[in-house]
Amino acid sequence: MASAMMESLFQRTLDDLVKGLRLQMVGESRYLAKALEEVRKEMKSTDPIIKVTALQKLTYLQMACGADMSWASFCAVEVMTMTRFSHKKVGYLAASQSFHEGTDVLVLTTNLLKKDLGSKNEYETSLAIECLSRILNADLAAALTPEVFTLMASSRSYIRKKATLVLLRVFVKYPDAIRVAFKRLVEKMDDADPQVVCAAVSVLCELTLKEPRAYLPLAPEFYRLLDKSSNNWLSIKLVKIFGALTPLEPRLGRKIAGPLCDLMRKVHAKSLLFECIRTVTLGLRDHTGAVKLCVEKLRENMDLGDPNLKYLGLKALAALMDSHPWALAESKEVIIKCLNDGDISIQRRALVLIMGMVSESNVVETVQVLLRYAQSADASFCNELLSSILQTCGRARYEIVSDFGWYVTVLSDIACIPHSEHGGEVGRQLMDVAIRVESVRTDVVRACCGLLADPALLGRPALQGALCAAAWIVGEHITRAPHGPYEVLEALLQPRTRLLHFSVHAVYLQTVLKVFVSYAISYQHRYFAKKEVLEQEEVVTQRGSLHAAVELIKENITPLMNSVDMEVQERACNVLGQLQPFEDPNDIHRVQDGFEMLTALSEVFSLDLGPVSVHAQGRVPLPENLLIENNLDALGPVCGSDDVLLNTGEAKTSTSYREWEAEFNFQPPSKENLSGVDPSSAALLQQHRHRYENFYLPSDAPVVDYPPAQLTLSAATTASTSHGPTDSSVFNENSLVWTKPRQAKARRPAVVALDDEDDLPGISTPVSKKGLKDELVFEAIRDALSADRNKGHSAADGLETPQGTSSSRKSGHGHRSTKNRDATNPRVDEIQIHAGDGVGQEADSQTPNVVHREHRRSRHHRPSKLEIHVINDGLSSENESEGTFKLSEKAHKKKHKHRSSHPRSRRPGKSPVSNSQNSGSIPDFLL
Amino acid sequence: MTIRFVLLVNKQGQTRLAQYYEYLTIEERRALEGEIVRKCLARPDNQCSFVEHRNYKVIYRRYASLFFLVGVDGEENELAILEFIHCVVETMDRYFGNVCELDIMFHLEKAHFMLEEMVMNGCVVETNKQNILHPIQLMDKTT
Repeated sequence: MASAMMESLFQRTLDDLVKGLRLQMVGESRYLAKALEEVRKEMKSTDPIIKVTALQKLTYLQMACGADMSWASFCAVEVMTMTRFSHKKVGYLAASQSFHEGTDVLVLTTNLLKKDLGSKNEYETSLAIECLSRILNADLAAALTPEVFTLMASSRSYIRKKATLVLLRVFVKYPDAIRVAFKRLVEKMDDADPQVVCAAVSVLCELTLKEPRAYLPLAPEFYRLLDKSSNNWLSIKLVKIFGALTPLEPRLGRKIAGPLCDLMRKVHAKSLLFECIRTVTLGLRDHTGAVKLCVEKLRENMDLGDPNLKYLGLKALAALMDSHPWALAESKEVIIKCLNDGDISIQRRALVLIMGMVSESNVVETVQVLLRYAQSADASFCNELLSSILQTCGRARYEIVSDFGWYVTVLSDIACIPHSEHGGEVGRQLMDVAIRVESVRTDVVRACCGLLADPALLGRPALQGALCAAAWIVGEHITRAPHGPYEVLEALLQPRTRLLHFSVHAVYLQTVLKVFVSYAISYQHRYFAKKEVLEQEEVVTQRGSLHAAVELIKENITPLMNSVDMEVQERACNVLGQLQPFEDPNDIHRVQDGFEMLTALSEVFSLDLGPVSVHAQGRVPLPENLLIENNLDALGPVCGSDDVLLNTGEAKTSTSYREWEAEFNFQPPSKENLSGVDPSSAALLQQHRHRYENFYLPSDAPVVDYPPAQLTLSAATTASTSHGPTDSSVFNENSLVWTKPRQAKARRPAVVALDDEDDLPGISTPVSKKGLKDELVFEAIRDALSADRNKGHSAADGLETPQGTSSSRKSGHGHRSTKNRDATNPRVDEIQIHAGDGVGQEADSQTPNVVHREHRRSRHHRPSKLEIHVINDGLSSENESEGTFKLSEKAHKKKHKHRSSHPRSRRPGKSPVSNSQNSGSIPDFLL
Repeated sequence: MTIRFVLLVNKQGQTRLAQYYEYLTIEERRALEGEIVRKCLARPDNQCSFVEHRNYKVIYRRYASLFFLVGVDGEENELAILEFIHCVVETMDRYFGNVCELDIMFHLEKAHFMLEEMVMNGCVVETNKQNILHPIQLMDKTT
């Protein structure tokens, strides 16, 4: 006893703890550990007050310092059960801060919560409700839904309001509750207390945003509330609900457009104004008047200079981007100015808008402006700018780019901008353009030579992708290099190349080989054409001569023979091996041999590599006697090879392709097929393809159908394909087919297009998966409803009985709309009864809207004060609390009945949905 | 769920009050707070009060040495949240009398209580200062 007193006397209070924490400038973690140790000890105490203080301290430490308090969850429950309100409160705070759905002690709280929910003290009840809104899981919800339901009918508006709001979580965790409580929730929209109405609308707003279609039948109720609402919070929620509903129901849009425009003209609160604008941009795009008013209001607000309004204005304009481009065009200056705002949020929004406005006619100016901004912007925004340029221009096969020469310079500029980190994408697009657009290749090669020559770029790891692509492009088209191959060699062999990643360096080495071959061959032609003698030493040893090139390569590549990377080492050895014959310019025979070898190589290198469809491999017909699944050993020889097809513009490609195909189809290679092809060059070709695997479009998962590939038909190809008529017979129409290039516009060069390349990066195909999913959910709901319809009738009746006056009034209204149809279609009547029972959504169809609106205007509020007027009412609902008991029983019964069905599908049980499938469900309101 | 969390942070970036309306583990909370605080506190006053972070929109406002940050989901009305923040501050002002960081540190449970009165399930329920403070004042009287 005495020790307990001592303990409580010397226990540190929360204030002490906080003071202590504030004094700890350094060593906070030590203090924290000590405090936690203390708390742990105190928790074991039997004295409730010590325990409460300990829990209080722990809650504080969790929030302020991120201490773990999951170990104390049992103690929290203990404190929650204490009788004193101030203690209980500490327990509840701890619980709502630290518990989650999976906390094991939650099972212990069921009875406690039940007791507290039924407490006479309304603040205790409210504590319990608040805690529920955090920790509720399905089991708790199942046990406590009857209590919550009762509380919704409480005589105290303070409780009604909270009980209504907690329903949101109840519905999410325990969809069965919808059947019981939805009707009452809808009734709360007519509550005498405006706060309760606001709470009900908040819950409905959340539910509507999740699944708008189900709540369409409630539209008249919402309209009525909006009409008489004088509270901006409430109006915002209602307008938001209409934003979700109007896209689904055009007639609703027509109805709401007028009032919304009035609201926009009259309202002073910016929050409500922007909510209206948002709703217009979402659902009323066809109402030109409303959109015009929006744009006008937006411009007014953006001109005010307030950054918040500017941001929101840009956001709203973005929503109009697709449907009303004129709205953007009118505000173009403002938007471009926003790029320089210095505020990343605003800059980003402006960027989105500008990219949305880009078209073929203005792409050049826009990109120029953006590049200018990119040079001065900070690193992260600069990269955002660049990536959006790359993305927009590369979209749909460069559809907005007509001048590719310009675009290539843009690409190399992007690589050169100091903060640029888009080397990979630049490289991909450079290569893509080089391959697809033949007419611009010289420009691409020039740009690539520029990139290779700049030693500064070699030091930037982010740009290696671009350099890699540049090296490959230059190697492939070395004859187009502006300053000749020697310059290229110097660029490729500059000392800083050791900074390159091995994989990139390997590409550099192969390029060196290609360039050297081309250089040597042209050298040979030059001198043999002039009939000059090769061994003229003074010529051979000059700078720029063959010997100089050999020396340059040898000097720089020899160290790489010891590279730790296998690929680099092997390629370095290869290159040096090719150089050996030229080492001694006086040994004419060896030099001649060397030239012969280089000539063979150059033939291989001079083949143009065309683009290959991702799914080209799949188009190769499967030979009949091929047993892939049974004989896996046969795959051995192929496993090392890539599975990408090679296509070149040469006639013999198709032959060599056939040879390749024959070889890998696990059939004995037929010599007849190979006749006419130099086997060594075919092998080299194959090797080459193997080496440059990474430069082929990646082969992906097989596709079901294989439309024909399209490749440009250059003059050379046309000529060459003609002398291989048998080749074409090898492929059926589903295999590789050469077709004419896309009809190019007069000023735009042809861009080679491959089919089925939608899955390539850079080509965006907007697929709204979300919409698809919603569709499925809605279908599921509809199915569930049709199943419900049979048994749901009785259930709805059951729900109805305890509800006295209000529901009978509603169902009366609900029937009215169907009366005309009764005679003709009895089934419709049944459906409508069900709907009417559920909500009675057509109740106020006859509300004189205009009068209400006038009323609302006159009572309009000051902009910044969003207050809720409290009307204290003595409303009591004895009827309802009496009926509740029966209802809760029903809820339990039904729970068993519906357990098997999908939880999501139960939501429509509340039945406004039941007739939402035919949009004629709101006729009174709309007609 | 519209409001996901409410944070009160001082100029040094220390969390003074944190209220989450969806469950996150302690580690997730700390990481999120760190990122958001770094982002928001670095912004000068003349920039807009909205920051997009992960899938949240963060709306913040600075009052003297305290930052009020509210994380909301994409559909929430930003200006209304600014009003809400202002309302929180006014309520605290009325209760504490010119609220400062220390008031919140030493009366954390009361600050929590106010927030709980104002927001539930992520929805704003109450914006009338009198109504918000009524239960707290009652409690103060009884103890």
